[in-house]
Amino acid sequence: MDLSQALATFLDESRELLAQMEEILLRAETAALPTDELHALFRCAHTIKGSAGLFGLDAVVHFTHAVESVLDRMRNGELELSDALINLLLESQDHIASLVAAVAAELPPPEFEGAPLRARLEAFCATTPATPAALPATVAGGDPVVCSATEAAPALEVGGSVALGAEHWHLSLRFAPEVLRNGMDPLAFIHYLRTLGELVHVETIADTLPELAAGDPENCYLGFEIALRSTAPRAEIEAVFEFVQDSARIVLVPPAARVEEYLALIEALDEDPRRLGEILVTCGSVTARELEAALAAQHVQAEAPRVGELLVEHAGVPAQVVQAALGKQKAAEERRASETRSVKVPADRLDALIDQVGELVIAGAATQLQAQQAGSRALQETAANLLRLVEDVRDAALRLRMTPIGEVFNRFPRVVRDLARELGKDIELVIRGAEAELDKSMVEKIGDPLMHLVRNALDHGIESPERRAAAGKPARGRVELRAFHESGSIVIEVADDGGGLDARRILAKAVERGLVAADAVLSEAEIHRLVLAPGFSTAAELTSLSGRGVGMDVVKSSVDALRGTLDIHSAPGCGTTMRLCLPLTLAIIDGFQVGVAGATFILPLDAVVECIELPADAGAAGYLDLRGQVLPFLRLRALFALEGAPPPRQNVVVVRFGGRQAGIAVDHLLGECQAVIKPLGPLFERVAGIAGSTILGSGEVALILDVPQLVQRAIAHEGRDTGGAPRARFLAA
Amino acid sequence: MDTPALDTPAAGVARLAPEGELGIYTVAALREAWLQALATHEALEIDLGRIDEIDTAGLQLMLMAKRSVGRSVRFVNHSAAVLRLLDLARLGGALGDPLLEDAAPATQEAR
Repeated sequence: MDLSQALATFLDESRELLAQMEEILLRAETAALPTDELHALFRCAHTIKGSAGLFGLDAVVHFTHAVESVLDRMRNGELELSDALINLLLESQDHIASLVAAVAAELPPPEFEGAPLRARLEAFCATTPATPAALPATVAGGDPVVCSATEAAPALEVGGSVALGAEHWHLSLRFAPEVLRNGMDPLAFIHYLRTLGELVHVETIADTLPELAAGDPENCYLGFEIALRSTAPRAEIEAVFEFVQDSARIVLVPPAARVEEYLALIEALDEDPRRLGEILVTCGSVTARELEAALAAQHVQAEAPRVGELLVEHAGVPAQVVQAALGKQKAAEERRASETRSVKVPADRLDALIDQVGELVIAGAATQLQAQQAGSRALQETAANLLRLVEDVRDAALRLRMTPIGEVFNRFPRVVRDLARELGKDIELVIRGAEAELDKSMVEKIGDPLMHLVRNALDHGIESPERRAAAGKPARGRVELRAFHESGSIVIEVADDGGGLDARRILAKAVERGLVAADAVLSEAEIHRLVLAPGFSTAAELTSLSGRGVGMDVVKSSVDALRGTLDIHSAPGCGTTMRLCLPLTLAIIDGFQVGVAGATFILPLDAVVECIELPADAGAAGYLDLRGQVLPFLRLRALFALEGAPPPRQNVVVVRFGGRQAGIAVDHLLGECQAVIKPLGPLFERVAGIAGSTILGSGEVALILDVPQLVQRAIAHEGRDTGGAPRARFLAA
Repeated sequence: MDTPALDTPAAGVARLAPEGELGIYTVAALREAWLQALATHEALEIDLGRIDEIDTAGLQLMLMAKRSVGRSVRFVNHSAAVLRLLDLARLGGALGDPLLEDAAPATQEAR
């Protein structure tokens, strides 16, 4: 097994555990924690420490040990979970996270914060000073992780390097108690090993086996030490144990290994090292003299005192071992439960799949077109069937990349808590719709803009407690994060119940900054949009958090880059809602084809409401009467300056976006199709009204229209025609 | 699962002859039966002749039985399936009584 792979697993696991710790700690602020959560908290720290120990990450181990000691006292009821302690634990959790991040980035651990934090932690457990010397035993009791002995203890490479003559692999297997009950049969695996080579020796380790009256026969108490003569590569031998690797500790020592690897193996197991040494000798993996000499050499070596210590200290501490095993067992159970529900796949493989599916969609459309032209009924039917299946495959493939937005939302409870404290405000965060899904790549890109919006809401949105009291509002402010799906897009809202945007001040500031003319007549909504303009800030005082006049325009442009929109709804005294609307995916859409002057354009089908005929008396642009409703519309022909005379009868496609509707006048309606979105080149990507391009079944290129922009443009046109006053420019192309 | 108890109180030896599977699905029941027999007898002799399936759990149960404090448990008449597994785990010495003790009172030799 590759070390980097195991390390990646460790990093992933640590991040998950840290997130879990944070979540529990935040919950502890509002309500007393039940015992099982205290245990869960302890297990998180314990597992991180154990796994870190396997990789020799001493900085992580030592610091986490201090945290673990405090948590241990807490779960034993010796320590009350006070506000101060929660704060300290949250800071400690942050520190562990930064240590882990340092490991991931291959940087030295940031030690500067560690020492004072540790001192504060140790103050909480005055009775148990954290002496590093006491660590190795617990380190070895970490989670079962498949790794070779060398990888587990890279620190042991120094000196005493005696190459041993054993020509066989040595396998050391220890199983979690539940493996038998889970339907796994360790001896069956060993039996299978015979297909890879010759079993030179098998030693059944039954040292922990209880007597008949005392034990549960469905628990596994047995371990095995195996000498296997085989030419198979490591991966192949490891693969035999693939199904049990989560609930077993499997150590492989390759043929002709150096003696340190065996010593590391002995160290890694919670068993009497002398007994293990004997077993290794019995297996023929080590000769008695070699072992004796190596142990003696290790014993006097200052660089690697751990094995020596272990030999002295470790003989017979069953109570600790049993406890460690129990914790281990539980953690492994939980992890397996979550692992069986999901599979980790590298993102690039998924991307490749989606690309292929995209090509398939295009090829399918071409086939259908050919079938139609050939005029064969049977062929058309087959082609239609094929296309339907392709669509299903497309949907399934796209779903693979869908991730719940909650992944992004999860970081906000902590952010809101910390910020609220810093600002001296009492703010409650409510999260709704965390299960709404969107494309993985979008999830990654939406984090920063959202962070900015939330900070803004806290800093500028929610008023100070005094002002809230004066306005007759509850002292506790409320920020809501909401996500839901709407016509092929995902809508994310950041809503606060603060003072709302002050339109007068915004306008005054905008005039002062030269963003609009002094005599401009703007609607409320247009004034609100001014805060998105570059270089705008309304806060009377600058704080460290936000409001330095940069930000909202950055948010706006990152949302634009995702083909999304940002809307502001604000009511004085009642609060502000920032509404982000993003496409669900950047890959493939269901489209509606329209033709203008011989060219084909595509509208996302989700946005299409209905199609009507363009009345002969309609103007160049403006509005239509749609069953008594005002419908702003624009002519695509005019918008893109397409040449040629329009046909006598034109059509209007009514599209909808963000609660507004608009009409788009076109020459012909061409029907539904699937469109694989191809990015526009850098030259065209900023062209207003175009979202992308696609290839039609006929091989022609069609442009995909950007409905949000078109709707807003139609509405802006409507305003211009009726109001006639100078406006803030809508399109910043 | 059929575990007939063939009491022979005079010798103080209980004899059991479980059938079928000696494995994860049966170990709990077998353990009960063996414990019951050991409660009233000094020694237990288990005939494995009719065991046609055995796994790690079964093997482990045999080892546990061997550890019964103050009682003697011996296995006799090992079936082919049992012998195969003992051979794999190299436990013939610990569990294959009749192969080593020629004074075994077993009615049959191990096949």
